[in-house]
Order: sequence, then C-alpha cells, then structure tokens
Amino acid sequence: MKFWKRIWRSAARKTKNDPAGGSQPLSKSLAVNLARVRTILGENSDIDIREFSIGKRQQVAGFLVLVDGLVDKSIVNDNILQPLLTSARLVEPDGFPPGKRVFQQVKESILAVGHLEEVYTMDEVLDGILSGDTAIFLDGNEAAFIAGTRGWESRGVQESVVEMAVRGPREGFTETLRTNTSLLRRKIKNVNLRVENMLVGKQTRTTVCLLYIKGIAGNKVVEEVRRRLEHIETDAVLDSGVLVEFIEDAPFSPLPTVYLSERPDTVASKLLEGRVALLIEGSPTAMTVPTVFMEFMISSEDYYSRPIYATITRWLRAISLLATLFAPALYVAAVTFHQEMIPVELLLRMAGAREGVPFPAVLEVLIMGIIFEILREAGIRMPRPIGQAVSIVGALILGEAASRAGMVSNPVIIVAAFTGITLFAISSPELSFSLVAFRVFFVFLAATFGLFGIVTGALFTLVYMVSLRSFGVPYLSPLAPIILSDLKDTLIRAPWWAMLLRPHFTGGQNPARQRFLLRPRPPAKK
Amino acid sequence: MSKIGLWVITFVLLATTIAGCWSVHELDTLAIIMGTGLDKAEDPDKIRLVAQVAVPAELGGVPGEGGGGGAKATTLAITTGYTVRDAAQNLSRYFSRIAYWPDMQILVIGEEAAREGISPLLDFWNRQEQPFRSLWVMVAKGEAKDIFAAEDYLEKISAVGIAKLINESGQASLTRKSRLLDVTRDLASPGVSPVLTRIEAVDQAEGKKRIRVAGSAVFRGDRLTGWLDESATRGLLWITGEVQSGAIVVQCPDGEKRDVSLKIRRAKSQIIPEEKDGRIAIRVEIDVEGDLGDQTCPINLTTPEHWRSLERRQAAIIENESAAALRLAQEEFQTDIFGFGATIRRKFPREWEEMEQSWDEEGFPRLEVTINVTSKLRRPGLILQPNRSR
Repeated sequence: MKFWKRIWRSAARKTKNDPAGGSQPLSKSLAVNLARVRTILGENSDIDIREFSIGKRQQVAGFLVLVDGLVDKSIVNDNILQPLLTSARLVEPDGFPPGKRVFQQVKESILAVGHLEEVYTMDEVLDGILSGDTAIFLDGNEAAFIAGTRGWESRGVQESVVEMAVRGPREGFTETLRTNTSLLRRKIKNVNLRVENMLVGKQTRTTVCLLYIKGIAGNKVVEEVRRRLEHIETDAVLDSGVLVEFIEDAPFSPLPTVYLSERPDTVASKLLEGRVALLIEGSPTAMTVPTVFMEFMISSEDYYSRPIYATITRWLRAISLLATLFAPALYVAAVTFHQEMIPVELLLRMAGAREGVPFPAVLEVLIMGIIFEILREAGIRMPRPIGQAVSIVGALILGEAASRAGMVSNPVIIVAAFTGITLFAISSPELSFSLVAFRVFFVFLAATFGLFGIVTGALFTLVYMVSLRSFGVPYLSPLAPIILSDLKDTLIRAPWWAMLLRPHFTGGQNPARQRFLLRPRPPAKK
Repeated sequence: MSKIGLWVITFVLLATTIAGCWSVHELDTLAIIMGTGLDKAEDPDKIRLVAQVAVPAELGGVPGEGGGGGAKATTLAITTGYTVRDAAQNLSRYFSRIAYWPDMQILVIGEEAAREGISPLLDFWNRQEQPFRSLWVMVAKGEAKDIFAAEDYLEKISAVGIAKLINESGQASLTRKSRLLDVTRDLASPGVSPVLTRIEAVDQAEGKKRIRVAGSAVFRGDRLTGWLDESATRGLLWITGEVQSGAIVVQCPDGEKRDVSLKIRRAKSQIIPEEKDGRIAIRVEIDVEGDLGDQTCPINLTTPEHWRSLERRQAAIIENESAAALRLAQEEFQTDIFGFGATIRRKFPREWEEMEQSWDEEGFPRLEVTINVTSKLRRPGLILQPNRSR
C-alpha cells in the first residue's frame, strides 16, 4: 500500500495544473479583462467575443463572451444585444457617466434575461460561459454579468429504452441536466424539493445535482452524500456510472449498492420515500441512495398496475432470480451427484441425451453459459440490423447443430436457455448482470460438492448480503432486519391506501405517508 | 479487500481444484438398473440375480436418432453369488459402467427361492443407504427370470410397466400391493404374516409373453406356503380394508339368470378383538359403499325393495369372499395373513404373551372370527332405468 501511495504522489505532483491563473479577481479596466479573456480562451474557434459600446455618445465600451453552440442565439440577440445597443439611449439620452452607476443601470433596466448574476473572478466567468451562459463586461467595473442564455441542441424527452413499462409515464431523462430537474419538479411541485448543485471533475467541471425532499430525507444521509461528492477529486465524471464507483459503499461487490434509473417517475417515488437522488450533467441516468436489494426486484409499473397482478409479477421475478442463480448449478449437482432426485423417466431421457457427449456435465454447462453470454454481448454491441443475425446464428444454428452433432446434450441447452430468459425477467440490468458471477460460483461449487456445495455457497452469499450497507441502510432490509410495515412493498405489493408508512430506514423520521382508512367504500347509508 | 475475503477465495479455489470430485458419477458412467429378479441358482448355495438394465441411447433424448427404432430399450444381465450383495457385485464383471440401483422399480422373487425364505433376500435392499423402501416386491409364479423375458404392452421398459401395473391394481383390487417397507414391517412384527403380489408371465396374442398381476403369495414366517386366487385375495383385502375400487357382480333381483354389477366406491374395515366366553375372539366390521355399475336385466332397480335387495346381495358376496379367505388361512395355510394377532397384541398384551408361542399353529386356526358387513348402495348413475324397461 505504501509503495502505491508514493508512486501516486510523485505522479500527482507532475500533473498538477492550474487553469491559467483564472482565480484572480477581474480588473477595472476593460482592456485588461479583454486581453485576459483572449489569452485564457486562446484560439478556440467556438468562442465568440463581441465588442460594443453603449450610451448616446457611445462613451461606455463593453464586450460579451459566449460559446457558440451552447447559447440560445435568439436570447443573446434580442434580450441582451438589442437592448444594450438601442434602448440604452432611450433610457438616458444624456448618456451614462462611467463607473458603477452604469453597471447598476444596465442590470436593473436593460438586460432582459431571467437569470443574471454578478461575478468577480475570471474562474466564475469561465464556468459560466462554458456552461452556455453569456458573460458581459462593461468598462470601469471589476465585475461582470453572467446572463442565463443556455440553449443547445439536445435530444428531446423520449421513453427510456432500458426501463420499459406498459403502463405509466412515457418520459425518460435526457442528457440535459436542467431538463431532468424540470421533469422532477413537474412531478413534485413542492418547495421542500431541494436541488443543490455541485461541480465534480477537475477537467470537465461537471455539474452534479443533489435532490432530496427536506423533511422526508434524513439529514445525515444528505450530509453523507454531500461529503462523498466533495471528496471526489478526479479529472472527469462523464456518466453516472463513473460517479457511482466513487461514492458506493461496497466498491468490490458484485451486487449494486446504488440504484440507477432513467425514469423520472421512479426517481420521484424514491425521493418521496426519503432517498437522495443524484443527477449528473450529460447523463440520462439518475442515481438514488440509500439502496436496498429489494429495489432491484421492483419495477415502477408494479405501482401503477393492480396490486394482485403486481404481486404475482413480483413472485415471478423472485422465481426468476432463484432460477437464474441456481438452475445450472442444480442441473450439474443432480446429474453428477444426486441422480436419485431426478424422476426415473426424466433420468432415462437425460441419460439418453448425455450418451456419447464427450465433456463432463460441468464443462458442458460452462461452455453453454459462456456461449450464451457472448451472444448476449454481441447482440448488444452490434448495430441493430446485424444484431438479429447474431441471435439467429447463435441461438438456432449453433444450438441445433451442437446438439445434433452430439457435442452438447439437449438438457444443457434447455438449462442455458432457461437461465438466460430468467435473467432478462429481472427488471434491473445492474442486478441481473451481477448475478452471472454468482451463477458461475455456484456451478463450480455444485461440480465439486454437489447440493452441499450449493447450499453452503448460498449461505455464504446470504451472509455477505446481510453484511452489506448502503449509506447506513442494511442491504437486505426490510427482510433482514425485518421491518413489518415495509413488507407490504416487497414480495407482495399492498394497495396504495394500505401503505401507510414510508420505508423505515429512509423515511423513518417522518413516517406518515397518508391518512388512515383511505380505502374506498360505498357511501354510508342514512 | 479484507483478509477474510482473501481467505474465502483461497479456500474456494483450493477446494475446487485440489479436492477433486469425490463421489461424482456422470450419467453416462451409470448402468441404470430398472428391475431385479432373484432365483435359486443351480448350485444350491447360490442365488441367481437377473438385472434389467436400461439402454439410454435407445430411449431417445438424442434428436434424429433413438426413440422408436427396433432396438430393445433394455438388456438383461445374469449373475450368481452366495448373497444378494455378492451377486450384485458380480455385475461389474459384465458391465463397463457402475451399477446404479436407486431407480429400481421392482424386485421379483422366484417361487422356489421364496419357498426357502425371503429374509436373506431382502437384507441387502434394506441395508443400502439409498432409499428402496417404496420398491415393489413380488413373487413370481415360476422363475423370476421369465418375468423379465416378457414384454410390456406399452412401456419400453417392462419393469416400469410392472410397477405401474401394480400401482394401478387398486382399480380392480385383485392383488395385494406390497412395497419393501410393508413386507419388512410384516416380517418384523409378531402376529402378522406377509402377503405379496403374485406375478406371472402368460401367453397372449401374437405369440408373445405378457405379464399378468393377479392373486397373492401367502407366507408363513418368511417362507412361501401357497397362493390366494383373485377372489380369495379380495376376501383378504375386505378384511384388512385395502379394497380401493372394483366391481361386484350379483344376480338380478328379478330371479332370472341376469347379472347386475356394482361399483365399489368406498370400503373400510375394523378388526376388533374382544373377550367372548372367557376366550379372545375377533369381530370384523366391514363397511362398503357402492354404486350401480350396470345391469343386464330389464327391470327398474331403483325401487326401494330392489335397491335393498341389491344391498343385501352385495353384502352376501363380500361375506362369502371374506369367509373363503379366512377359511383358507385358518385351515389350509395356518398363517395369520390378516394381522389378527397384532390387534390382539395391542388390546390384550398380557394374554398375547401366552398365545404368541403357538399362534400360527394353534391360536390362529382356532380363533373365532365373526364378520359383519354393512352394505350401502348410493347412486344409480346418469340413467335410472335400462333403455327398454317393462
């Protein structure tokens, strides 16, 4: 450990860089400011610097800086440039005396933009224009305006491809942070929904939005999230996946301890449960913490469909979870150790299928498992038209030919296919991909110790899961430790009017969700 | 990663790589034995074991081949040995695969071997760690080997066919179903003699040998003493309450020689030991419910007097069959196949101690047994009267 620390330190010393003296305060002289802006922004072709002068005799010079493509040009032209160049004369025909008063005048009666702030350092100016705002400098002031003119080409609000649902809102997050926070604001019209901004990434200066509902979310959790975000000191945070790795509790765990979602409705419901959401500029994926295992078994649609149907679906998902974890391992154990457990007629069939297969059952299962995973990966990476060809060649031709040639027995193909399908039945991709690791682990145990191995492995896994925490919340709660009222939203989904309390660990300090006895009833007789 | 985590990984890696795969049997290294027959060998000290082994390749599972075809799905292996285990072990001389016993369906004991006692033949199966307790055990008329030479009508593996045949035999209740567990328990308990399924190979159409399950084999101690035919077997089953279903054919109450068959719905019995004139006697209460199965006489049987007359006739047949079985057991075989002794032992343990020594020789043959039959008819079926009734 010490060795690595030393290497890192010497490397860090070499790469330390300060962005060209940007932390200095602005100068009073326009020429100095202009020169500094020019040197810092250099020869960038996408930077526009527009010089102008205002007043009747054009006695006040100024310039504005913006990044072409990031700003909404119509705002800049109609609401900033035009008033500055024309209406300034009308306001005070005699012209401005130079200095502070001009500045105040311009701010109060000329610039027609909603978001306007004064800044005093070059750093703030740069942050502003690189985020799409426009900086306005006037002669004789050591301050500049940052006018909100953000507006760039972006994808519209579309349905999330990852989290599909039959019922429920169709909108999904986009790559634009403001759009995303607005999607949440529109769902939770409440002043207590707090939206805090933080900048992460030394090079990218990415905005990370921290959202929570004050009064429901625990202060300690919010504080902890803030602390972990401030702690990050790295070059770039390009997607929420990167941020997750910096803030999650169990970085080596195959199991996800941060919940990811592209659906505003899902994130809104998490916020209402007292969780904290993180949105990041440039990523359509939101993170919510604290996270428990059961969240990955639940799809947002469960809450919009009828409780009984939702309950059945959850059981199906639970069965799928067990099947995808244990099916190959159980097959290996049964075929190599516990033939007594297989019904006679099935045993004879399976024996017939295995006749002449050159590999032991474990190897067969592993080979088929690997082939399946390769097919899945190839299907994802391939352009969509080719992707279909992959599945046809892989699934039909390869499987059929392999079994016909007697290289793989039919039951193994069935097991592999079943395992694959059950994997997709689990709603969360984070969870289902992490299960692959466990599945291989169980297959190895089954091949060496049979059922005994599987049971031992499952026990170890369970113990491990119980030991996990996400921002202080036990990973397996409300199952372990058991929280009776929260069980209404686990393997069963109780009707909405019956879910009286917010989840204990996240919304425990303000538990009441709704009034008691909201169950619909026929009107009382007179 | 913590130290413990490293230890766990090390342990798992070591365990999976060094430990090898102890007690692993891949499916294609097994010879799956479906049925076993035990006969006396030519050498009088030895046992001859016939094992029916499945040939999985002929049972399908491989697309394109197998399934159907002309090849037989089973093959027979015959070995001899001084004990069952010895003979079973000798199978390895013939088979390139490990003999795999747990899925065995039937154990057939040849008539001659059964007459010399079945206890030594059952020891092996009870001693194994694999579960054999639900195995069907039966006695073959003639040699057990011939049973495996016969073919089943539907099943590719005749042992499976025989097992299903016995399992379904409750439909007619013409044989005693005997699992290894029942036989072992009867052999071990005082006051009961085992009765086993009787099986034989008979000539059927197309010149083929087929299996027939009918009647029962009666034991005294662990030795076969004789057979019960089908109606005597049902007599036995009436008394022990094992009748599940079947038909009773009675004469039509109109007095002509036409028949009515009654379908047995439910039958139970109670064996009650009681003291009578200072001696212990047995009262058997048989309670039977039936439906009208079909009729050949053209009268309306659903009138109260005809209905009651049918109930009486049903009771009479049951009484006759039970009495015939009882007579055979008491007079000819002198062995307590009904388990009367066991019920006496439970109710009169002190008296039983005196009787136990000579139960089969004196106590049982002289036992006074009264049989009371309560007979009920319930439903006439979907039609009340025959199509052309008077």
